[in-house]
Formats: sequence, C-alpha cells, structure tokens
Amino acid sequence: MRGLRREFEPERRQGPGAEPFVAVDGIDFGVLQGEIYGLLGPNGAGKTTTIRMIAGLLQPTEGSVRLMGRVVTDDLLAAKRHLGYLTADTGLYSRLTPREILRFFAELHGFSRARTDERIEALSADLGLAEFLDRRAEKLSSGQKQRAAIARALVHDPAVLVLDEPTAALDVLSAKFILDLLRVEASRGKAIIFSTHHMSEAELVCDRIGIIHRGRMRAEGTVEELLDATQETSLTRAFLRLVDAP
Amino acid sequence: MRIASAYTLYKREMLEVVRDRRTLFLMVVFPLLLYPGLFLVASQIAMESAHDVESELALVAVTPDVPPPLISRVGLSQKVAYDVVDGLEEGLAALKARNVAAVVVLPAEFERRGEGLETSDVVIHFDATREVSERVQRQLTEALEAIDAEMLSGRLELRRLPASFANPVTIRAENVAPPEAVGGHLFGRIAPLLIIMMIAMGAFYPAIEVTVGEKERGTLQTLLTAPIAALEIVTGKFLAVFTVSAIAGAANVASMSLLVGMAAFMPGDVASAISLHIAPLNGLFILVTTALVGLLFSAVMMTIATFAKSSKEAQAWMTPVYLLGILPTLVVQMPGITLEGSFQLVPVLNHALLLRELIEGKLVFGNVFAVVVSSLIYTAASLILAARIFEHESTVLGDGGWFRRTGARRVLPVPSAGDAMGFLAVVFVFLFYGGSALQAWNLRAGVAVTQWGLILLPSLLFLRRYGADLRASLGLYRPPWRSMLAAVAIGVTAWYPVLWLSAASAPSADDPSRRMLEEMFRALLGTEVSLVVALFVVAVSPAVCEEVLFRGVLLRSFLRRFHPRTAILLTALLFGVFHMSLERVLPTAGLGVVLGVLAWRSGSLLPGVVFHALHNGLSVLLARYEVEIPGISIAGAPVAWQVALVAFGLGLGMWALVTEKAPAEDGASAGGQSRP
Repeated sequence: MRGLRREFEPERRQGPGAEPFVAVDGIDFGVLQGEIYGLLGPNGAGKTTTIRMIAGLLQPTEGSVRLMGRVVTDDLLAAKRHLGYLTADTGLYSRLTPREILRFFAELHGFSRARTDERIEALSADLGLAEFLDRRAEKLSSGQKQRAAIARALVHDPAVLVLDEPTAALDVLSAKFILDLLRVEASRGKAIIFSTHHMSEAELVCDRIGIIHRGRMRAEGTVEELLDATQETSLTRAFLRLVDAP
Repeated sequence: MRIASAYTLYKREMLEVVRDRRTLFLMVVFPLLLYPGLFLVASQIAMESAHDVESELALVAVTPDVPPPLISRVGLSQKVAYDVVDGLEEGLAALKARNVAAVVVLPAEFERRGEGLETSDVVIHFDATREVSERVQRQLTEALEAIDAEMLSGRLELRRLPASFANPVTIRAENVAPPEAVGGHLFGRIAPLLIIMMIAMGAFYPAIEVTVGEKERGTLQTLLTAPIAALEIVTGKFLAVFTVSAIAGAANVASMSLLVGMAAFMPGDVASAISLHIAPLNGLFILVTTALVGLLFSAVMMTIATFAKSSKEAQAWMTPVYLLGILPTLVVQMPGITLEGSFQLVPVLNHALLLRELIEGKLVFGNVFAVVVSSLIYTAASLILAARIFEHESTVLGDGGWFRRTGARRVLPVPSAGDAMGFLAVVFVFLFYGGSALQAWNLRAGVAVTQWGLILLPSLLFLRRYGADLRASLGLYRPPWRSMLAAVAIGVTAWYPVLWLSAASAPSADDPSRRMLEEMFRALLGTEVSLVVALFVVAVSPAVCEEVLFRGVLLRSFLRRFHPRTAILLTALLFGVFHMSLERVLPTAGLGVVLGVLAWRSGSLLPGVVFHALHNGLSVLLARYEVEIPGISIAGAPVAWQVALVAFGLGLGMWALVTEKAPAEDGASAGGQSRP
C-alpha cells in the first residue's frame, strides 16, 4: 500500500462550499507472506476504507495497492483471485447451505467439481463445519455463520486474506477460534491483514500492527516496537498516547 | 464476458428464488388460482343475484284497470301481481316509496281500441336502480308486445289481409365473424393487460431481491470481491429475474388457456363468449412478445432497484414505474388505436398492441420486427446502465451516489434535482388544466399566455422563491462563438430531416389526430394571422419560455446531481413528454437532446433559444406559405442538392458542437459549469 488516500464527496446537507471528507490520508504499509498485520484504530479511523481499497471495492483517490506484485486496480479480476475477504456481517446467502455457498464461490473461481469437493472437505475439517454443512445459513448460530463465512473466504485458497473486524459480533470463545485459525493460515504462508479495535486481539495474533487515527498511520511495528517508541507498558496505553498526540 | 460466471450466478439466484415461498406463490400459484377464481366468483355472484331477482314477487300498479290478456301473460306464476290505482300520481308515489315495482298507464278501454283502428299509448314507469323493477319492466314489455302482435293479427284477419301486409320490410343482421374471432376480439383487449401486468409483477420482487436485497443482506460486498465482472453479475441476475417473470407470464397464459379449454364443457353462450382459436405462428409470436415484455420489465426494474439505497426506496421508485408501465396497456382498450408509426417504438404500448393483433388473428411481420428490435435495444440499454451502476463503488457504499459526479466541487445556489422535478409536476398540472382552458378560449392568445404566464413566470418565481442564483440556474452567460454557430447551422437545417421523417411516419390524411393537428396549425399559422403574431406565438414564445424551464431550471438542476449524459437525456425525455402527444414524444425528445447538449457544452441558455426559435420559425414559414419542397413526401426520395446543402449545414453545426470544449469535469459550479 503506497500513499493511499481516499476522499468522499461532501454531503449535500453540508451546504455550499463544503470540503470533501478525507477518510484515508496517505497510508503506507506492506505485509509479507506468512505475516499477520493488524490495522488498529478507533471507530471512524479509516480502517474499513483502507480494507475496502485493498479488496478493490473502493478506488483510491491517490496512491495504489499492490497485490502479489501487481497494482490491484490495473487488473481487478486477477487481483481478486488472490484475495479472500471477510467482514463482520458474514455475507452469507441465508437461503443456501454453507456447502452450496462454498460451491458457488469455488465455481466463480473456476474450480472443478472434484477440486471444490476436496476443498470443502478440507475446510470442513479445519473449521468444524461438518455438523451444519447442509443446514440453511439462516438457521445457524453467529459463531457457525462466522466459521462458514471464513470457509467462504478461504475456499479458493487465496494468498492474501483481508478481514474487516471479523470478531466484532462474536463471543470470546468464537473469537478465539477465529484468531487461532488466522495463526494456522499464516503458518501456511498466507499474508493476513486484519482490522480491529480490540487491543487484546491485536496483541494476541498480530506480527505487526499499524495504528490508524483520523485517516493517518500514527505508528507501525511489532507490539514491542510500539511500546518502545511510546515508552508505555501496555498496547492500550501506547495506543491512547498515539491517538491523543496532535 | 464469461458466460460460465454469469451462469454460476444465475444458478445461485434461482436456487434462492425457489426457496423463497413468497416469490413462488406470486409467480406460479397466484396466477393459476386467479382466473378460475375470478370466473367462479363472478359467475356465482351473477347467478345468485339473478336467482333472487327472479324469485321475488313484484307488485305492479295499473291505471285505470288491468286488461285480462296482460294477467294471463304475466301473472302470479311469473311472480307478478297487480293493483289498480287512481291515476298516475298515486302510482308514481307508490313506485317512489318502493311499494310497487312498476306503474303501467293504459288508455281507457284499451281492449276495445285494439279491435278498432286506434293506437294505444302504453307507458311503463320503472326504477332502473332496482333490479326487480327492471325485471318487471322487461316482463311487461314482452307481454304487451305479444298483445300488440295479437291485436294486429286480429285486425288483419278482420280485413282479410295477409300477415305480410304489416311487414313490408324485415331486417336481419348476421354476424359473419366466427365465435373464435369474437373471442379473439374480446381476449385481444383483456389478455395483453393481464399478461403484461402479471409479468411486471413477476419481475418486481425478484428485481429488488437480487439487487438492493443483496446489498441489504450484506452479501453484495462479498460477491464483489469474487473474480466476476459487473456485466457478468448483471447478466446472471437479469436472467434470474427474467426467468421468474417469464414463469409468471407462462403461468398466466397457461391459466387463461385452461379456462378457455374448459369453455367446451360450459353452456353454449358462455362457450361462444370465450371461444378462441390461435394459429400456431401467432401463438409462437405471442410467446416471443411475452418474453420481450419480460426482458424489458426485468431489465428496467433491475436497473431501478440497483441504484436504490434500500428495498423501501426501491419499492417507492418501482411502484410508479410499474403503474406507468401498465398504463399503455389500457390504451389497447380504446378503439382505433393500432400498431402504426411511432407507436411501434413506444415500449409496452407496442407489446400490448402486438399481443392484441396476434390474439385477434392478425400477423404483420413488419410490426413484429419493429417491436422485437426496439425491445432488444431498450433492454440492452437498460442492462448496460445497470452494469455501470454495479461497477460504481456507490453500490458497495450504498449511498446511491452513482448519479453523483465524483470529485469535489463548489455548490452554487441552484435548485436541487428533486425540487426541480417537483416544480415541473406543478407546472404540468397547471398546463394540463389551465393551458387547455386558455387555448379552448382563444388558441393564439391562449398559447402565448400559456408560454409566458404558465411556463416562464412560474419558473422565475420558483427560482426567486428558492433564492437561487439566476445566472447560474438559467445559464445566463455569453456563449462561445462555436456554440452559436452550431445553434444557427443546426437550427436552419434540422427541420429538413425532421420534416422528412415526420412525412414518412405521419398518420394517414384522414386520421383524426392529424386532422386536429392540421386544424390547429391553420388557426395558428394561417395567412389571415399576421406573420409577426404567428412568429411570436409559435417561434419566439416557446424558444424563450420552454428553454428557461427545460434547459434552464431543469437541466441546470439535474447537472448538479446527475452525470451530464443522464441530465441531458432526462431533460430531453421530459421535454418530449411535456408536449402531451404520444406520437411526438420521441421526435421532440430527440430535439431535446440536441438542445441539451448545446446548453451543456456552451454553459449558456442563448444557443438553445436561438436554435429553438430558428427551428420553429422556419416551420411557421413553411406551413404558412405551404411551400412545396420537392422530395418531401412519402413517395418521393429526397433531392440530392437539398440533401447536400442540409448535410453541409448539419455537419458544420455538429462540428462546431463537438469541437466546443466541454465544461471542466471538476465542475466549478453547481450547474457543473459556468462561463462568467
């Protein structure tokens, strides 16, 4: 991500002469294969806008996103083949079963039927989907839905996994399950970018953390590096110091 | 586009539809129940009420007395009893008080008069709002007619004359149309309405489900991160919506066919009323037309639903479109409307008229071709628009901002698009009632007062009340010379192709609408009217007033919200509709596009005014002096030198228009432009 900037048009009600709203203002960072990178910031910091630009859902006003060496906006379809994307609200088709949803996305990625079945088996084993694989999504619990949604994001075995507050709607146990899974996927060589406003989660799983506030990257590094830079004893304190800084 | 991706999406959409009971019920079960249900309920109600009316004993007041032949024909066994009253007044009072069902007034000595040579005047007073009264009136009329016939035959017998003496002429009307043609005529008027209504309804909910519904459920973002192009998404979804509406259409046709098939087992008069025979080729084209209606409604509904922010908003937008879409099918009920001229290109109306023709047993390949091609073009245009919306990131953001131009800009006080539309609606109502009344009072003065008083004045008052910047809202800037050149060059030449096109598509000389138009033209432009007045009424007034409203208030407001292309097209379409003539919608809208481009490119109102005045002014002169232009007729081909001259003029104008620098995209002003 190089020099990412995104402006939004002012609302009409803001009246004549309103300036555009800058959601993300010149963000730079990179994520390596096998690494979990956490975007940490309060609500409205610009995390979701950044994540959406990485996923190709929003165009940057300035700057660019490179994925596997290629600029995302140059060939969006090619970039999407390498990318798994997940949001807090799961994005499951309520009248379909997890198996049907996985099949649908695998087909969109051009998988054969045999390869699709193979992937579904593997994901089912990794994520414990077996008991609800053929139950309609509308009848699943929140935790089950999120597991099915992660399986959906992983079905094409992407090199990069982008998650926007994936644990926001989950209880502690379900959230831990997801975080553990991210570790496993990173160990398999995936680059993982994951946004959150929970310090403990970031501390638990992230190899490196970028702290965003008001659209700008305030600091970046490992937990230790952030603590050293701020001379604080906990990530929460370090975060507050960085966010409070003018 | 990859068909496989679109097909994968289509399969998923269909799986969801099949699992949605509400959609399934609406598209299959409802139509299958509707027609038999309607038929059963209607026939039951009719039979029940008929039975009640027939079995009720009716009292009839008679004055001065009841002739025995009447009692013998209509008596107690026919549920009629008589009461002699003293005069008409008493009888009418009883009828009004509902004590009797009818009053019969006979001349004194009714029977004796029958034997002589006099004519007896018998009056039956009845109450048409009471069914039993109507029944008695029928019974009495029949009985009195029989008495009349009997008396006549008595008179003839007495004078030894044959029965034919009283009947020098007998008249009989024979219907040569076979029962199935009568059925075709009947069905041809009802079926298009029902089929189109059901198809539109079939497309309504799925269109919302697959677009804004997916946005609301949060699955759209996920889909958009999959490697599938916008056009593939739109195609897959469109096919799913189309499938549902096609199944709805098929279920309707099947249900109606079943009912027609049942006619064979029904009593004779019912059977002949709904007997229908459709030739196989007509049947095939009925299916094709039905499919085209499905394609069009699916595409249009989906496009509208795509830019809505929520299902609720989508429904609010689609309901009027649905009603507007159904409206043309009502035109089919009117006599004398046929699939000719520009009607072939008016969507839905052309489908309804074609369906009627096909059901009535007609098959004109030219009409089928025109409807197929125009439908496919409208459908494709709508789908391309939907794909563009899907590509736009506002689809993800859900802020409905597709129409908004991106990038920062300064907002000048110009009315918002919504307010301008509201204002147009008010102006339209005033024009419809006020304008019509004024023009009925005095055509020339009425047209002038309508233009200045009902179009220009309200526009200026609206802008003033809005506190708008008058220069920016109307584009009161000095135009660049190229735009003026374009306005003059196109203004003096555009009448030629327009006239030639209208001559080719004009209704025949005896067509009532054409006669009305010609009469109006004569009244406005005839030589008894001074040239200055004619030019003022028909050229200058519309050029100033309509330009202020359309290329001023409307276009500048639309440019504030929409992409210039959308703003120009929308304004042109409203300009076409505003002329309140179905046949003139498309040609006028075409002219509106040129006027819109002129106003947008120049940033000024003036080129449009000049163009409009020149165009209308030349039409005035041509009509007034009835200039015969060789080649301007349906039969003759255009003359080469004229075409060359006109082509040069048009070419020059178009060159000037195209090479005119478009307003900067960053849009320095609310109107998207300014030329201070």
